[in-house]
Amino acid sequence: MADVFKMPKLGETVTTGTVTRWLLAVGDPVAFDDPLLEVATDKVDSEIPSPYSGVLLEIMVPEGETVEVGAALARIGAPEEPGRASAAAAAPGPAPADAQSVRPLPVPSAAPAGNGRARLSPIVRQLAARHGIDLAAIQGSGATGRIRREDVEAAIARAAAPPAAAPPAAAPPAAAIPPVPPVTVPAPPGPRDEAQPLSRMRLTIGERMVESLRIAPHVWTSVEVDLQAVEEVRRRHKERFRREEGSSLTYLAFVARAACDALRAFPVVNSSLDMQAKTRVLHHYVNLGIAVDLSEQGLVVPVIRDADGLNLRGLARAIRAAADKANGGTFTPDDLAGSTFTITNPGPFGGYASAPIINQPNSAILSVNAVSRRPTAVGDAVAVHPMTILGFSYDHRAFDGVTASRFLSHLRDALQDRDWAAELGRIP
Amino acid sequence: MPAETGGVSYLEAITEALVSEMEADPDVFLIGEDVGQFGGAFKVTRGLLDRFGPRRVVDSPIAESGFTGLACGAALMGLRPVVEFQFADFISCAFDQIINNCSKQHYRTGSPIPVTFRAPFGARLRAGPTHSQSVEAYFAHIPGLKIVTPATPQDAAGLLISAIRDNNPVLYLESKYLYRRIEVPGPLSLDPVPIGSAKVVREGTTVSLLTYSVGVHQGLQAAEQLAGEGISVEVVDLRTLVPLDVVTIAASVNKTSRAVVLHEDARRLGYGAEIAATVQEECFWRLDGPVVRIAGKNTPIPTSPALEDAAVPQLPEIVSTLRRVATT
Repeated sequence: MADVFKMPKLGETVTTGTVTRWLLAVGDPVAFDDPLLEVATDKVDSEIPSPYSGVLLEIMVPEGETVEVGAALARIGAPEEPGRASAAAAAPGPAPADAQSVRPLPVPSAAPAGNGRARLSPIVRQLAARHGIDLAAIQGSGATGRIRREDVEAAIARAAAPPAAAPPAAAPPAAAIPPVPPVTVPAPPGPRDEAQPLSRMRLTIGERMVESLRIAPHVWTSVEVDLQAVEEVRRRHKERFRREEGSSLTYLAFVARAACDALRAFPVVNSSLDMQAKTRVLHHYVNLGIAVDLSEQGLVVPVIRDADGLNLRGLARAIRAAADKANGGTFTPDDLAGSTFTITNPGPFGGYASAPIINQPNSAILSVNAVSRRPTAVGDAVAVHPMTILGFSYDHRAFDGVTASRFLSHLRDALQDRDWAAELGRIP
Repeated sequence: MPAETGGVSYLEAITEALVSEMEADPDVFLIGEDVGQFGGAFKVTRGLLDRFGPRRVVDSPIAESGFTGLACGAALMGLRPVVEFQFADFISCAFDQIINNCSKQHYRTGSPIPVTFRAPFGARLRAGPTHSQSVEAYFAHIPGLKIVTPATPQDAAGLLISAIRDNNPVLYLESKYLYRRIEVPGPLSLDPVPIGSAKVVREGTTVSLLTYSVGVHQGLQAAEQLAGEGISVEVVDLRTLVPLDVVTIAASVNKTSRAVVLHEDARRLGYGAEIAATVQEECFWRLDGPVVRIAGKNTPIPTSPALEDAAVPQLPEIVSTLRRVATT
């Protein structure tokens, strides 16, 4: 009797997973907890250990296919004689495992997630196979998200990289389909060009950024902040902080702390829009997303839950932990879900000001830019202080410019005037 | 009158083709109820008695089995009879002559039996259940009988000429609804249109509409309407039902990867079932969705105008079906 191994739930919000690689072949012995396959969800690649011991009898989902959580992935059990497997599958055995060993058909869901994989027509399968098109990467334009012949043909045309002089591929002639933005096709790579395949993460980032800009009318504004007070505290506490915490006391922690307070003062900034329900959901907690660069290979946004309940030290620790997790690749999809507001921190890499794209479904995003010493008016005198620009992009559907400006002023005043030393404990 | 505008109607095209063949071949003669003095139930043969005389335009008693059998015998003896049924509905009276005598003869004996059966068919004239039927499906089942269904004046003439010249029995189904509803600028070409050749009457890329007779005109209207939505419909006029031009059908569906079949005859075991089955056999691996049929309801054709309109395919249903197939 064989056990059926099903797609595990890799996070609360995860409904599908893509089998990226089988680490064992059919016939290989497998022990409990042996790495069995790699699964990719939207942002996380996970190695899945085997929950059973035995022999890998059947791989039921080929590499590259995306299946629902709970879909049968493989059968693992005692080695069986040739032919026995089918007999066992066909027999109306009382054991539930046998009943499940019949390979399930993909179930078409009412709203297929993106590609309508469950219903591929003969022509779609044939064209994709002949031209080596990855159907998982195609967004179906059919009424139910189904991939139509025209979708595959468009993908083939894109893959063929037509000559630069060729006009852009015509949009498929289909009614009741939202207009497809024109695809600009770059010139084919020349001898001094290098074509790099886009990683799954780059594709995901691309899709989300385009989608966010499409649905949300972005407005950018900014505020200049004098970080002299923050700098004073950092200078006095940094050695002790490093000794106690094993990490440096960054500007980001101060900004995050001040932002949490400002979000509590302006709850509409910490909200999510639901245009279908015609509601704006105010979150009376701050789940703070922090954008973390992964060595320029991509960007993830781990979420610090209930960040408004943490003091400066707690936030600094949480930011550190999130960054470590992200860089170590040990985060789970749940670590990336549920943000209510996001801070991105390009400051350490320079840059005077920046206009980030909102991390949906947030209503706003804050960017912390480079801190540099420059002249600023203090009273009637000119002083040279560490200054920065906080950039702020917001969804104009959610609130208006007055709110944005008041939020930024609140943030600036907190950074400039708060008694930061008190948060860290007075140095005796 | 179309003649005054210089146009040739569907009905006039049939008359012209009859005159042309009768002038060209003295073996061609007409027989049927009221084809002589009355000029035919729909006036297709008006004036032909005076022109060709009673030996070549024969008024028959009201007995389809009798004059059909007579025509079959005449054909066996070397003449080329054109039999007119007043309404296609009455052709069932001559079932035995057509099926057991006529359709088997050439196969059984090697003797040609060049007879043409003209039958005005179809609904939409408020003529009720026994004067509105489509008869193509049951005759299409019979080996040995060719069936043509012209949709335009040009094809009405060209296919009738081919039917008369064919050495096998040909059932020529003329649309009485189209008789006076469409016309083309004259003069009409009197070149034969080959039996067994379909025609792409509008090119398209998204979905193929496979149809004949009245359906061709509805299909062209639907295609024009859908073009405004960016849906490109290819309309294929089958023109001949037996033998079916599978090559043209398959080329079209292989191109568009979607097929809708349209006819006025009742859906159940209508000719659309044969077309749909043929498409899936020939084109399955190129299909992007199921082959869909649009057809009349499985009821007798009602006399009430409102009910008749509901019983046979209308433009909105054709448009919405094509749209659904093209975009789903």
